[in-house]
Amino acid sequence: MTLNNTEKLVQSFVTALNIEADQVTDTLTYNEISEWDSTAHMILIAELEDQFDVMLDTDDIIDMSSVAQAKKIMSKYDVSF
Amino acid sequence: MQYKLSGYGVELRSVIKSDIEMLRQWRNKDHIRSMMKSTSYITKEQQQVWFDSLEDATHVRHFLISYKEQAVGSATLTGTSFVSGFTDDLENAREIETGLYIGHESYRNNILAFAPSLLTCDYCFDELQVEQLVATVNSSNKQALSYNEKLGYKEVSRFFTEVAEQTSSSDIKTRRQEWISFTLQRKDYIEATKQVRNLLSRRKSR
Repeated sequence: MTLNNTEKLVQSFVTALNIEADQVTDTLTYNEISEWDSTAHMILIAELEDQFDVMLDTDDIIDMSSVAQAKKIMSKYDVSF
Repeated sequence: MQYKLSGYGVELRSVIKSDIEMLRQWRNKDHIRSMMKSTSYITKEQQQVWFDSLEDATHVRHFLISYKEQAVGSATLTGTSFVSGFTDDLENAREIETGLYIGHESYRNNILAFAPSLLTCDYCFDELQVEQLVATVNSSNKQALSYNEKLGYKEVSRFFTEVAEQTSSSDIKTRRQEWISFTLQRKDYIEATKQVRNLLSRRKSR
């Protein structure tokens, strides 16, 4: 089954942060839950790059401080949600 | 002398006079002040005295951290003597104590804090050639404890201080505060931060 972009994004967070899909809301932010620490953040970047076949730059990696921000940043790479 | 460091997406430069009121306001925020060794409120006059004292200081460097040309925080390096624990000229110090806070609200919960830390660690180990870095963290500051661990710091000791707190205009009580001392060796730093250094060293692709 092919996942749409929102499902791919949620799946990236679920895998990287080891959390449930219903926890992946726009308001979820870095360090808000113990699962989203710097180690998980690095795994998240790798997951997103893999899912969407993009290469994020340093500013994007720093700015990706919430799920909403992740969507905004991915949209710069022509990924629509 | 003015110092400037850049890398990992951020820039650090020596604090100048026009920075000090912003730094004072950040430093006086409850969530920052409460994690400092001295938790007292800093007045404008005290801040000016502090800044004036930096003119001839060779044992300490205070940096303003900027990200995308916006000031976001402060980093401090203090040279300490390996044996005595007294301050030492930064250029000759065998050991440097690091301090950092992110004052800009937009970047409080953000991986950004790693960038100035990596930059100052590289500077201390590679340019100043120190033997080790040291850090002292309030034991209740769980975020900072986890953060230091991710940089490769190892706990070496714990100690307590009595912190005076003013509860009303006339009432002052003391509170016992536990602190944890950490040291960081270059090999541990390199090993622990390999992945995050790579991630934050990427060039702009667009």
